[in-house]
Amino acid sequence: MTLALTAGLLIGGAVYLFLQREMFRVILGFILLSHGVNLILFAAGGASRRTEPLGGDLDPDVVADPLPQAFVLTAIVIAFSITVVMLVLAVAGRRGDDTHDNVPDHLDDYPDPDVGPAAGRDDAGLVADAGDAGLAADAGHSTVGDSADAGHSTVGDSADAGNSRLGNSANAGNAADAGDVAATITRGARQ
Amino acid sequence: MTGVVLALFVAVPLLSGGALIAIPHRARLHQVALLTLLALHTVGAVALVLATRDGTVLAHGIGAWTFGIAIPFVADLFSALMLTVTGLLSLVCAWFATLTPVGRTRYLAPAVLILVAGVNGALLTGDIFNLFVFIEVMLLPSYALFVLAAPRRGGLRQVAGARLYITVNLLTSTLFLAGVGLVYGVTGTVVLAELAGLAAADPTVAIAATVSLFALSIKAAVVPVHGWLARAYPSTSPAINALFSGLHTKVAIYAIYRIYAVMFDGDERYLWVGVVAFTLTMIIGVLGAVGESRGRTVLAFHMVSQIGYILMGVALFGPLGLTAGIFYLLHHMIVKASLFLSVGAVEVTHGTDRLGKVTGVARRDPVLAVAFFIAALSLAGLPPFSGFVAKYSLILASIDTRQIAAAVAMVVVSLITLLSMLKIWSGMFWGRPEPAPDGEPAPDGAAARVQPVPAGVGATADAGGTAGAHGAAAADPAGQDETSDRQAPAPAGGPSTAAAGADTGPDAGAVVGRRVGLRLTMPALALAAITTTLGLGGEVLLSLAEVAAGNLIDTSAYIEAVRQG
Repeated sequence: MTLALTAGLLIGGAVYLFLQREMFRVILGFILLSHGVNLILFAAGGASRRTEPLGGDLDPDVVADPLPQAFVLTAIVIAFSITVVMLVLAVAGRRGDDTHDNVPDHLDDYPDPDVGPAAGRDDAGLVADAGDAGLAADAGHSTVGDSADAGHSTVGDSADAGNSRLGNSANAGNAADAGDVAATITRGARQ
Repeated sequence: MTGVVLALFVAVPLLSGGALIAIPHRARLHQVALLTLLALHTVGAVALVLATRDGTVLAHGIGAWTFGIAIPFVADLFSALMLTVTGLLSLVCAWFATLTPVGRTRYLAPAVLILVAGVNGALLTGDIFNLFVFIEVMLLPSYALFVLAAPRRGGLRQVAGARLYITVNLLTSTLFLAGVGLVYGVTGTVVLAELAGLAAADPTVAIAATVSLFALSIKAAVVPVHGWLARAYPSTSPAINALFSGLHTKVAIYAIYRIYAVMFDGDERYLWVGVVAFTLTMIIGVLGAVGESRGRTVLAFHMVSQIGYILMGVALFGPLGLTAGIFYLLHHMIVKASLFLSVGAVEVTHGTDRLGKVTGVARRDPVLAVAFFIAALSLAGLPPFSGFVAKYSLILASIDTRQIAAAVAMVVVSLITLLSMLKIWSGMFWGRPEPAPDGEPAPDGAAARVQPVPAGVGATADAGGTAGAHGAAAADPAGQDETSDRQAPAPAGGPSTAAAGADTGPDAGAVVGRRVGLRLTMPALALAAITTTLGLGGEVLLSLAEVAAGNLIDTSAYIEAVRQG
């Protein structure tokens, strides 16, 4: 009974943490969840009707079942290693946190960062379009300062090129600027 | 062939993957080792198919422990066929990866080998806790592969997609583990052969097993728990995307087939749940594909739709249904990877897979277009490709079991599949080539290295025109690409290329743009050739699938083999 209640409590806490938006809390949730499931595995060994395997003459029917313990050991190792990987990802992409209530759809499809800052590229128009500049700039996958710079440097050159698409990114640069301020304000308000 | 060799399918890639991490990195050595080992794996798997083609089941208790204590490795024809296609796919995808910048990274070869070891283990194991372990062995290198970027780029590739991917998979694995715990709690064993038929006999076992099956359905991306797939997959690199599409969800599908056949004994009472869920999967997946605007996202949604078809085989439990399902599974792994590879080749070369950004690929690369076209028609189920055989036999099976609604859905979904394939075709392959690559460097700086010709072409065309100075400017960023692996937006290079493009494009009227080239095309073409062969000579694979289905319906040979281990 104690095992069942504890497992339920841990998993309840895990679900609560999963519903938070930050990656770090989700990871904490996973730690709780794996503990809860490990307790389920223990309970599966019939912990309530078995005793500790101490002493000389042991009856396999009444001492603790070693197999679930081996399961739990394996599961702990696996959960530990994945937690480490997730922590790395949490640190590597702090700005990727989906901390806004409504992220526009077009920002959902992860433009390839290998191709360059989003604002300098084909999302430029989209960023400028997005009514809530603060939102777009903050969720825009890259340092706001960077994308503003990229926008501006392109603007200077685009005069020669006379390319209308590059002209668009001039707007993007401005939008990113405005976004910077707005984002700072939003963050301040949140904290 | 004795069962002992089964352990080699796991041991060899696992140990050599570990050894490759320890050996100092030499790109060529790693690539050769990777391709050789995967080719060996394919050959071994074909030998296994030959050994099991009459319905024999090979089994081996690892460590020579007795039945009930040992972890059994079992291979029947179904697992042997899966192993063969796994080997083939990982070989082709690794080949493609070595042609892209990801192929030069230090950890590609070890990670792919460990991934393959995990897949093989999951296909061979006859113990559901061990299945969980091997799925994790498969997933851990996948997390690394997911964020693998080209070397010297600094940082990781895609964090947002990877987070989603890891979160979903970890949640699912934990759920699966809880299911395994519950099964152990009510039966006292986790060996499939000992669990045979128990879920059909005892509702409590059925409930415990359903928790595991539900977790596997999330991994397989069955509607309504499919949302992660189409969001996560397109954010990794094309080569890795193709590899994952062929292996990950398919392992989950294989496990669903196996667990339902052995533990539930094909219990007819629960089949209607499958028919409803998988019909919805087909329909919702394909509708999602119609609404997307990136090549790989469209393909990822198609995966969801096709997974509905494949699992329909198990929901129509019977000789016809299982035969069709197994054939469909094998066909799908090949065709889907081919599609991802051909769209991936375009993306690696041109820097984007957004439909309408790169057009007219068919003019520049007719061979690639043919490869894509064959695979697309095969996916939609047109003769003479393998998709036709797969869909036709599945529809026959569903009419045979009086699931008329499902049969109608299959036909309608095929038409919509064709429609959305045409969307990729017209948005990427058809039409005139886009005017010029306006300063958008390829991802991973691939184009410059794989296909150095176009930069030269651009320069010469330009020099032949009015402004020779632009030619030098155009050559400049290309040079940077080759040497410094392209720092993201080359500050001066971008606009100057755009200017050069603007000059040459309209004036010279020449097709300025990168070509994908034959080397990057070959992997996709090879898989397209296989689907054509399977379509024309479908009889061979269909008869093999029939034997495999026979093994799933009558599990006594499976159980007996494990007992004698």
